Amino acid sequence: MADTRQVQSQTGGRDDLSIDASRCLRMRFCQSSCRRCADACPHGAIGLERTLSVDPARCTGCLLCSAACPSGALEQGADFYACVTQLSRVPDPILGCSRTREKAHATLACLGGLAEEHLVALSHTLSGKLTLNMTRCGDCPNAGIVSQLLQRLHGVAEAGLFDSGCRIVLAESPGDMEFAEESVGRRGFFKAFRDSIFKSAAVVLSSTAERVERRTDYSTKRLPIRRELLREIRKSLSPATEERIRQRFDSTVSFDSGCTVCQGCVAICPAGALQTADPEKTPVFIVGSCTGCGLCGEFCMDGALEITPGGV
Amino acid sequence: MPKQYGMVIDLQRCVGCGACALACKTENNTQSAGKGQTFNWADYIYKEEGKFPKLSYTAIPVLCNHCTDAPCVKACPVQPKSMFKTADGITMHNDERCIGCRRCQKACPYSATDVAREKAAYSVISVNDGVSEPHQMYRDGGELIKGCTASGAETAKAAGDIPPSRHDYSHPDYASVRNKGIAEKCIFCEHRVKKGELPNCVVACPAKARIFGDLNDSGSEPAQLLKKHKAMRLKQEKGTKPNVAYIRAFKGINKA
Ligand code: SF4
Ligand code: SF4
Ligand code: SF4
Ligand code: SF4
Ligand code: SF4
Repeated sequence: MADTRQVQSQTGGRDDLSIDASRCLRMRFCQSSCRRCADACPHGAIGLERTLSVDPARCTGCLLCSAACPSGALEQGADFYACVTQLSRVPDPILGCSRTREKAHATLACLGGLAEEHLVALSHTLSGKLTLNMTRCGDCPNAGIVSQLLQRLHGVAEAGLFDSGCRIVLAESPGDMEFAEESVGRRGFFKAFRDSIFKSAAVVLSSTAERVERRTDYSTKRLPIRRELLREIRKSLSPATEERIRQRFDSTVSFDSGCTVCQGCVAICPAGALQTADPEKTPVFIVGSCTGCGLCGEFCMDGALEITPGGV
Repeated sequence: MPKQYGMVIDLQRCVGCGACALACKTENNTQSAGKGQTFNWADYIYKEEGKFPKLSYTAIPVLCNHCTDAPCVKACPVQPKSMFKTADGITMHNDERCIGCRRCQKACPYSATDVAREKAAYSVISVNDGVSEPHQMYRDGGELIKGCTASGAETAKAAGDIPPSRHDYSHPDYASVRNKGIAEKCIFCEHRVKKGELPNCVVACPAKARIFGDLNDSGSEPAQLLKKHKAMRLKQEKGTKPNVAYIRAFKGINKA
């Protein structure tokens, strides 16, 4: 255990994980088979019995679980909007982690928490080239995130989602990047700030980020933050890119004739993608709010729901 | 032995006045009926039997039976369960964890998901829909009698609370006024019982027809009554083992 503590001191520990059990598919439905987080965690730190828990003695703060969780039960606590605003002040910005603070314009606790949605949002908000400073991942206990992040970058690039946005590159050795201190004049800064579509969001959200056990009523509906980001960003994208986003990130829920209009799926959906318009009728599906988590399909007693990848 | 709170209802004492139902509504701020939900945690039904002029008419107060083998608890899908049994045998509801899926309501033999559609006389569980805030009556700007009375919204504003007559209390599991999107039902007024008081319906009954206590304590009043009288329980055939028992029935209430 002494070892783990040492590891934690190198990684910033789990201080950036925010836990909200009310969003967890397993807590909402005891028969849900979801264990994406536990499968993603390299250290067996996640408990899913009775309640969602993270063992502080095992967690090294790699945030891989947060990128795997579809519903926002595990999320990185850092204010991602503020981070984007910070990056948008500089041309060719560098994003680092808690170990590379000195050579970065903004940092997250660990880059393992950058999910595909984050990458897409970064690419379409920043200009020039974004470098992920991974120069110190090699000797980091969380080194396992590198291959995962590469995979995500690759996936997003393959899907053509970086096409109209800025490039994102990985710097694995100091020679791969050029760090310039932020040297934008006042005017340049305000221009960048004005251009950032996140400016209002950053102001609203900057106060909410703190590492906490969040307690939300189970009946509250909300999207994970990275999905909110995606929803925000896609509004301003070209129809072609939007179409690719739809293919990669959206899902469609459809009902067959077995639906007894019980509205149970409306209740179980953590995201608010299913809504009751008329209690005597099949619920209404709102594609932009669906994370494709699959919980409604598992929950429906009549097996009347089908979830297919790709939006309507 | 752990406690098992329960209630004995003496039907020969009950005069069918409905004071229990009203007392519950004021204690727990339950809203008025609507959308197939009664929001009557304590309710009463009338049972008519025979043909005129040989007619018998019995009032039967109903409430959650705090069943020992509660199907509502079994059906509740969340973790930890929103509907659960307390150590004292109360079927408790936790507001924070409830998703409002109605599985408890479907499973409970004494409840209906829509009393109008299912032609049910009562429902011990009611569910607030996820769409509109509860107590719509006090959010509505329309006057009850046009040009004459104040609107519900005005009254609520003047009183500074919804409902205006809100009776405030606090309990770790349930709120004195429920949010939208969750289920609600009788919790045996645990916020009172914990302070050594009786459920409000018991206090309010002018005929002393409702006797509350620990059924596992052979010295308690309800346990004594159960020893003395043959008791009826609603829908016993369902195997729920209700902890609300009726004594001194006139006849036939087993079919209620
Ligand atoms: S991935 Fe998220 S929803 Fe699934 S079990 Fe883990 S915390 Fe729960
Ligand atoms: S942050 Fe990493 S180590 Fe910690 S629980 Fe999540 S996956 Fe496991
Ligand atoms: S609609 Fe179904 S698949 Fe989509 S977010 Fe809601 S529960 Fe998950
Ligand atoms: S009467 Fe219904 S709600 Fe009450 S404990 Fe029994 S099954 Fe549950
Ligand atoms: S409505 Fe609430 S208490 Fe009832 S089964 Fe669903 S989650 Fe449980």
